[in-house]
Amino acid sequence: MGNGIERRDFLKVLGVGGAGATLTSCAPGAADKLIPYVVPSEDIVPGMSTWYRTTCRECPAGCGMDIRTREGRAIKAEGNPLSPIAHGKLCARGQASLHGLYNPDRVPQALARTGRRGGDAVDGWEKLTWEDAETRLADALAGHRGRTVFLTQSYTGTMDRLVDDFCAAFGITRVRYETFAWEPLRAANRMLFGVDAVPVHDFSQSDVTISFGADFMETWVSPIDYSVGYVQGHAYTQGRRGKLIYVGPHRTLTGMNADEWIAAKPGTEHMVALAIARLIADAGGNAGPSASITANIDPAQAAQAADVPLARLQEIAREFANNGRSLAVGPGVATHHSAATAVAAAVAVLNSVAGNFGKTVTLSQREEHTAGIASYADLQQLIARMNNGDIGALLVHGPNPLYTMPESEIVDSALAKVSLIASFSSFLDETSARAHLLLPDHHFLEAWGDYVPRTGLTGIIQPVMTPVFSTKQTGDVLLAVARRANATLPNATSTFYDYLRGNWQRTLYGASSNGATFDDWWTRALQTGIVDTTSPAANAAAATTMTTTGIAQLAFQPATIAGGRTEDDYFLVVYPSYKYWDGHLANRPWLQELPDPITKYTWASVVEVHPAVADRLGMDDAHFAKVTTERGEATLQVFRNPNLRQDTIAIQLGQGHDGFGAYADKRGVNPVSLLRPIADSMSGALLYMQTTAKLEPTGDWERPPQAGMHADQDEREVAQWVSLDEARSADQARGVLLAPAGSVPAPTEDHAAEGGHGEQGGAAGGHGEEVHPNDAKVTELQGSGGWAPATVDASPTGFPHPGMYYGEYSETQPRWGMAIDLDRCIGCSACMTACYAENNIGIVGPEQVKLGRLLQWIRIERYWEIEGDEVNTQFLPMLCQQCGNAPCEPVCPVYASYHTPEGLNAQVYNRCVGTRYCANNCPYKVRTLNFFNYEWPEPLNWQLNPDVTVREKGVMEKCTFCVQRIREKQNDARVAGRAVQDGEIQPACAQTCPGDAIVFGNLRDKNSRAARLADQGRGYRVFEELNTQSAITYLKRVSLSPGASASAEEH
Amino acid sequence: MVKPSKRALLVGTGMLVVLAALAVGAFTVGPLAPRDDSQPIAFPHNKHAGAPNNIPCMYCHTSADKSVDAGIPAVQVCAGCHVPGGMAASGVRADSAGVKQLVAYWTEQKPIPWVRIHDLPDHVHFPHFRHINAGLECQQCHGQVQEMDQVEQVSSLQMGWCISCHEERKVRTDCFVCHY
Repeated sequence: MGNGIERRDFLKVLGVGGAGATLTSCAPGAADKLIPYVVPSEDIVPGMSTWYRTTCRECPAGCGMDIRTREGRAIKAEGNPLSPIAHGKLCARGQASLHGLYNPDRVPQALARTGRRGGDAVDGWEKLTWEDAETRLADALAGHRGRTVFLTQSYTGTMDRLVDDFCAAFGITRVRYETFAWEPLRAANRMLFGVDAVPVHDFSQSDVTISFGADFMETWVSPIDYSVGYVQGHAYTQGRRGKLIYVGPHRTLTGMNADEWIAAKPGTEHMVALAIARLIADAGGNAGPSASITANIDPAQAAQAADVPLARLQEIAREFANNGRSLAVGPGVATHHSAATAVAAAVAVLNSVAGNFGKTVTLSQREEHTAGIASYADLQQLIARMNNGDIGALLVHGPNPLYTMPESEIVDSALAKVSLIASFSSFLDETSARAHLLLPDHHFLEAWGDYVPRTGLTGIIQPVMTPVFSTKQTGDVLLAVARRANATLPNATSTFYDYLRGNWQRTLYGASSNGATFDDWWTRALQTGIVDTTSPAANAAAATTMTTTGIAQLAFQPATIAGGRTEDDYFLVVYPSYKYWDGHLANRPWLQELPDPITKYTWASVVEVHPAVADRLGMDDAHFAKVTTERGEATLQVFRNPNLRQDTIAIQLGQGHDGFGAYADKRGVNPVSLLRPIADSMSGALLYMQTTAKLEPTGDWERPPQAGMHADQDEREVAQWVSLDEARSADQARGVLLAPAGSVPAPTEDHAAEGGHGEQGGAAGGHGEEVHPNDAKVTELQGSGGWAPATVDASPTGFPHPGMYYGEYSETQPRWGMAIDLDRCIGCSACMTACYAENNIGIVGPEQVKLGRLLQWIRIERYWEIEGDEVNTQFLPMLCQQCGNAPCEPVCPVYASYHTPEGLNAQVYNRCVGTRYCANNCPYKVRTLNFFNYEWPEPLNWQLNPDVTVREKGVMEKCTFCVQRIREKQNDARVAGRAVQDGEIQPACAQTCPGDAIVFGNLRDKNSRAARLADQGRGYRVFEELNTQSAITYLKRVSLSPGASASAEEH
Repeated sequence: MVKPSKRALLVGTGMLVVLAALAVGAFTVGPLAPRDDSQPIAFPHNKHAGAPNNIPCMYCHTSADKSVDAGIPAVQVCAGCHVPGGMAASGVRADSAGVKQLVAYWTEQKPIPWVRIHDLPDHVHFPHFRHINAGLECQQCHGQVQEMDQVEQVSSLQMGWCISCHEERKVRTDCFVCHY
């Protein structure tokens, strides 16, 4: 340069400029203010977490919840370990409840409609003060006295009482409605036992479980309680393994977990159940009161009608007669056809014949929960009354009939005939968008209340933070309206909080006070989150006497589904969504972004089609197809699913909203619009399985918003399994099986076995050359005066060796690692949402998912091993393996990916320049790049975990084993002058796993739970042959399928 | 001497402008920001923490030994001495201009929008309580605050400064201790 400026000087100037820019961005100076509290809250110490116990209200299960708050904001939901419903665990829906709390689309305050109704509902609303809104409601109730209906969810507990009293005082007809109210099950129990109840099931005490379409791992009755129980009772423990059999046309998540699938023809599930009951009775079982029913069943005929070989039913009958250690459950919502009540009755007969009542099935513990809930038929009548102009005012809190009922046009016109609709909904869903008055309720995390998941067990709901918006708790609104109208409510108080305390003092306090003052007892209840007044005596006395005269009216014949079905018609299975329930959770961005456990689709609806059918119609995955029923048509992408009968197609509920906020609006299809509006004649339930459909390819294809499109392992043996015998002999070879192989020892908590397996060396398992990871050796060139090959320890704790290029590394440091038991993983994906919540992972949206840019740190890989008609599903949680010999580390040009002395692969965000070399070199594909600055629209950003850096564009990220949690516990332990205890540190995924499949710990501590589990005979490491020396030992799934032994031998 | 071309002049002038802007930026917000007169109340740390009052740091910054954050005192803490029992006139130094400002904030129940002097980037996790519990004095990082009329930043708070102390004391220095 001849211009007087040297290149070097120019660069220096640039350098200074760069530094200045960096500093400015690090310390935004004047804009950065420290805003203190005016008066400090006793509960808030800046920088420290405060936990509150409450009860989840995302579904009717009512799991106890622990909410972590920081600086007065809820940032993480976990299960309450004291709750017998939650067992310390939460599903993805519970984890995502924070996205309901902080949803940007919440109705911010009381509003009144000014403009036209429906349609573009954001405009045309007038803001009201709460006084004004309450006055308007009081006036409307006075004006429509005797012509008002209050449509509510099933509250149970105190709110139920208040609403009943409120309705009595104002002459209001109350209708309680839940989309999934298990009507056929309740109808059958009314007939058989005289109780309007869903039973309580104990899966942990069952060795053989048959589910007749009941998706108890996702949505059926109490999914977390049942998932936890199922894994306890069925996963491989000390040589023992339970069995799950799934009967139904379409395998859901529960179905895919089943060891055996009976793809009975839709409408014949009750025939299968009764045939098994008859076979048990014939083999010497006691049919008791069911004899009159079973006597009329010919197993051979039933098997033929159900399209199932009789021999299989005989085999199942032998296994199921198990001294009360078996359990039959059903029917599920997806198998609600015209014989659904007969299925429920047949399931009860089967349980009765097998002697399961009082053991794995207990009745009348859920009466408060379910009794008196209106059925779909009742709701149809209500709609008809509205259409006749009989209803002047409609109050809605919870249900969204315009979305959840077929024939939405009739519902719409009925709503239009009501002069005043007042909605307490937090969101502008389809129904509340038609309202005249919006009185948004608090989110349950902002509110006081209680919930009774089963009789005798009350969960408290307490506010964990001040309300985000200017909403008001519905209980408070009702009390205020009653005051304004001078109506006298029994036990009325000025606030709902006082009403709740009063109610508890009158009811629960007496039964469980143990002499404590009410205030002490109340404080204790807030601390534990639950009040348990369950009386074992009452449970023992619960109805177990079956009278079958009541069910004589049931015709135990195959159901007729949609009459004249022809060759091109398919049974349409419409099933509840694990993610969205009936659709009221579709506006939670975490749930939209979560790959569906079955289809792995995000943000969309798909139609599931059997591969053979898809081939016949010339459709590959993600081709579009038109589904036509007599009620409507929908065009969706095709997902080829071998877990379907060939005469069946399936669509999930929950999507296809019109409105309901930006995250739900116009995504996918609402299959309810395709259904025939038929109510069950026995129970009044909406028959989800009473429609057939035609399927027609459109010829279009689009890149699908799907994660993990590949369902085949391609012989790479990522997710491995063994037969039960092999699992036993492998454990025996390592000396960790406490009883001899072949016998069935009682399950034990303690898996520990000291030593004893050293001699066996590498001969673990029945696989010849396969070596257990803890015995792994590797030959390395060691440099000491020349390079010589030497055999060194390559176990998870033996690698890397001191002196390797990883830098400081010592035996005194922990080696953080995991043991993941694939036999305990049910694929529910709760871990994924927990990880999103804990680690501030960005929501990328469907367009970015299509490009493979999903930012998940942990994913559930779902593989199908197909042999003939048999499909084996393998789930595998895949996260950073924290390799000892990590391929990502040497390729990083800026040392952003490096090894810590604790054996973690650290990703240093402030060093990363986004070359993506590490992601390319990672064999597990667990690293993701931020292609953009992903945003959390206000107030979603309130949820962000302050302990974790929010990554920006161009930065690579991946699982850290929740290093912030490790540091938190290490800091606490150091300050307290003690060592970190085993089990004290729990990454978010392990914390929430209902199966306890993921166990984290220090592998160097041979007594840590993780180390003991990793030492089991089933241990292996994914891609061991790549010598990555990963810190995660997987335990092979134990398969009971006949093909397991053969397949395992190939491996 | 070669006369600089027009282009070089342009570039030079542009660079000067940039430099000037950066200088202003660096001196107001840089790692060694000098005393900042823009505080809403000219709070004299020396009158509080220094002689003769000698109020301990943690009387106001209460969570320094148990939380990652040392804590900024609530207005109520100030009012405890300066507006005892809601009586401003009977409080300590009721006549001073700063206390009058404080009384106004307290009367209106508004927080005082203090300007942050010590700031770390978001990708650094600094737990105060670990350092206090390790026996460090506040002054080792924050300087002789008890002598400062207005608090100024005396340590660079840059990574090299952290590391040098960690190395001196043989404390872990790997990245994942602070950056995650």
